[in-house]
Amino acid sequence: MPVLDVADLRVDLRTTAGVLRAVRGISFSIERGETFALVGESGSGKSMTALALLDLMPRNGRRQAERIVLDSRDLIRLDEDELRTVRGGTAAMIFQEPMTALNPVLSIGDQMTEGLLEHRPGTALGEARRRAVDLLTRCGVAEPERRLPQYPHELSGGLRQRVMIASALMTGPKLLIADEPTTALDVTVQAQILDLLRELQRAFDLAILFITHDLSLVRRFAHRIGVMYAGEIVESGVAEAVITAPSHPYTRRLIACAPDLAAKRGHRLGFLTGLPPRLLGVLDGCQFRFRCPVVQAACAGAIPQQRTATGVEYRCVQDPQGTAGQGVPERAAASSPHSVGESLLQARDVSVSYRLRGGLFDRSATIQAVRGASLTLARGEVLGLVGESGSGKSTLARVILGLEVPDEGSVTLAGTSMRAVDRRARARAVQPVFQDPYSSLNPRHTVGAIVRAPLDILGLHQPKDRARVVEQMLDRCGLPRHLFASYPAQLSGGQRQRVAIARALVSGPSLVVCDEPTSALDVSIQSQILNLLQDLQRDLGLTYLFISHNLAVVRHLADRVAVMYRGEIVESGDADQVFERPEHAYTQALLASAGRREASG
Amino acid sequence: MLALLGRKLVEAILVGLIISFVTFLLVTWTGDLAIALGGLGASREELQQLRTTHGLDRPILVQYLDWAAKALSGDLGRSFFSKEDVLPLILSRLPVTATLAVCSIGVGIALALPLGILAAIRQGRWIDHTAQSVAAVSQAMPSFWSGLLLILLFGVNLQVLPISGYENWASFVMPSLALGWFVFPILLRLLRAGMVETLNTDYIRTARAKGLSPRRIILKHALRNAVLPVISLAAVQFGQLLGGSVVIEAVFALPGVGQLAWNSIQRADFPVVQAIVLLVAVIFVTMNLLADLINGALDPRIRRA
Ligand code: SF4
Repeated sequence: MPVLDVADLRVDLRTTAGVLRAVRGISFSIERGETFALVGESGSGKSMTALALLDLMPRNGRRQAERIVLDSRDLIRLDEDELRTVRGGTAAMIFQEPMTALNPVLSIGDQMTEGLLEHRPGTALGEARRRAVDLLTRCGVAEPERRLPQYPHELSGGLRQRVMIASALMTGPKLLIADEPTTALDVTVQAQILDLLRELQRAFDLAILFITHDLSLVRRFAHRIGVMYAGEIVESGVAEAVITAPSHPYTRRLIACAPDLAAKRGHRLGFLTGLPPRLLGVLDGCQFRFRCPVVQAACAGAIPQQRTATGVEYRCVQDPQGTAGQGVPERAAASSPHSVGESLLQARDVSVSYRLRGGLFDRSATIQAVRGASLTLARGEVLGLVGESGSGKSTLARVILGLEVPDEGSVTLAGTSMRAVDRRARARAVQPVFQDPYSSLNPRHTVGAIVRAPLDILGLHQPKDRARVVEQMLDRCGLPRHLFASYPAQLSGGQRQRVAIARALVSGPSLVVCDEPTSALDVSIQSQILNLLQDLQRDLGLTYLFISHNLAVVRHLADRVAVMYRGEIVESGDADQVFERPEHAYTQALLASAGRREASG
Repeated sequence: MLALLGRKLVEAILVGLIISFVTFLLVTWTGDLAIALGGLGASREELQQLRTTHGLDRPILVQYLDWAAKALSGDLGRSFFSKEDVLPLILSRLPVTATLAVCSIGVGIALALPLGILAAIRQGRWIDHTAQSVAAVSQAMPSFWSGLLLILLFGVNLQVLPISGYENWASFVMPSLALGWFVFPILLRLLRAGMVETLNTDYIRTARAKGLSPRRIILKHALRNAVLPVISLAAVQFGQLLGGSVVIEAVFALPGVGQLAWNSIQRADFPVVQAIVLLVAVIFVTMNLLADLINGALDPRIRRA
């Protein structure tokens, strides 16, 4: 008998725009010792499903189901008090943000033991603490006794997630619901946490419901996968089968969209046009039909029936054969190596340190963010700068953008020192694209005005021509014309990033510094933006400094790669060489983690 | 923790010095102390005489340093009016004002705490709307007016409480209610906003996922976080109350510091005014220090910083 058996689960959210059908009749089950992964992009309903199982939705949420049987109790028929014995009892949850998921003012020991004390009122505190120490040890936390009196801010992100996991296991649950537990962590830490979860699963015979947006992450980690789109599971089955032989057009596209660490540079990502539908009111037919490349008249009728193919079940009106080959890019790959010209940017021995603010009696501490970093960029080249959080990669980017003055070292652009040129000349030559376009776009200006501003400020083109130049650039960046007069708040994340790119390029810079430009975006949107950046680079002969923690994305885009670790560039060279034959121990560890993440067994 | 304390102490001393210097300047610039001493009928020679004996003909900075040095040793001068020493004079008024301050802030907190929590957990429901309307009404009511209404109700109509003067504990009931009623709305708003924000955090979701009882979630997990800014504000308000409420002490004829301040200003009794300002400044800074210490004790992120 499965540990968890869910049938026809639905979640409705009351919003000002109407009733939002966040989860629309999904069914799945998980056996002991099994991991079932729900994979989907934001808004697909995967996290809402996780919360709905234990009735933890936001206040405007209502759930319905035929049954949610957990360990032979039907949760749909329990009242709030009975449900409380299940939460943190038979079923435990861990969440994405280890930084914010622990209460900052309560000690680790307190937070770990309070659940057990609540569920088993007779338990002695000493006994609970012994169990906490025991579980912390099992979760790979060094010096567990010392952790109990500590507070969350004293631990690193990876350590906090270990504490969260240990805390979840205190009551000996049968089901662990893990909502994006590794998303906020660095690659190396991610791999460790996945290893730990697998180990604990074996030791405690745990059933795991794993919620994630990252298909490649669960390839080997999960036994079975359910792919969610618009509140439904559109395809499910054995993990390997879903990933290698997907039958639903959406799954196919999703896989084609994700950059692959093993693939060589230059190939083109698959993409999905448009955005997921808004799930308001009465919904009929296949909700993917607005983006589906093989849509037919029949798709608008009833919701497609479940079909079975080898190893998978999927909901689509067509056979897999009929929709095959749809992961293939629609535009020819940019395989021809673009011409690389003379040296454009040179950063030599750049060092930056920050003084931590100290009070009257504190000796001020300094942090060395970048130590003696050097890099060169040739015209028309893409240099990928990879590193984990705190590696100094963003600080180095700020130096190159002229936003930060280095303590030591120099930056020259096309032969002239950055210090010698004024702000306007620098702005003409170098432009940034940041991770979160929302905070860098003026919310009170329309898209057209935002993109025009650099032209006005720098006095480029005749004033009467500027509107046309702006329009051309926005067209080029793929923003629909009817959005030119909108405000940033009215755009989706991908559209905002298109605007940010248009603004960066409109003044015709030779160098574009992209700092994690797609990290906040869903896979299908990320592929749109990556393809756009690739096209622009080739068509306009641009030079990119492309900064990312995501190795697969850098692999996809970069000609050369520099790896940063603790403020130093530890390795740099041709992308193929660094990725295939890394020399520095850190690069090797980084690649091993990323590879293990995807191919761990 | 010790470093924090040391830092705060130095801050407190600096603020006290600056405030007292500013008052000193204001007092010497706004009136002629010699006239205040000798009266309007004093002759030119008498005034000159007074200036020399009281050292008023020296440069201001010298006068200030002289005053500050004496003040630090506990000598705050003598009242022009009653010729008493200022320090014992103020100290004799302090118990009344302190009792009033403690009771008022108590009333304010007793009203704000449960209402703020209830309003936050029933956000958008009738209890939330009621609490917020009550707060708006009470903030719009000047405290002398609520004081007079109380007098009308309990003193005149029901005749259960003394209307004015200082006899026993009963004399404090109405003034405390009036002042507490006045400080409660801002405490309520801050607590409600803090609770609403805290209840939406990830760690509250974690606490719910652990199956903790709503009581535990609200009182232990949410309140510990939401109450931090409220403590700072309450301490500041308490400091203000300790400086004496001129209006309420006047309405109820309570012989507190506020009343003394009011009378001294009217009589141009500068040494007393000067001393009260210094007292208020010191209390104010001390209360801020206290708030920081309490916050430090409750919030580990501050404590170990
Ligand atoms: S049902 Fe139609 S629209 Fe939906 S995935 Fe299948 S072919 Fe595409």
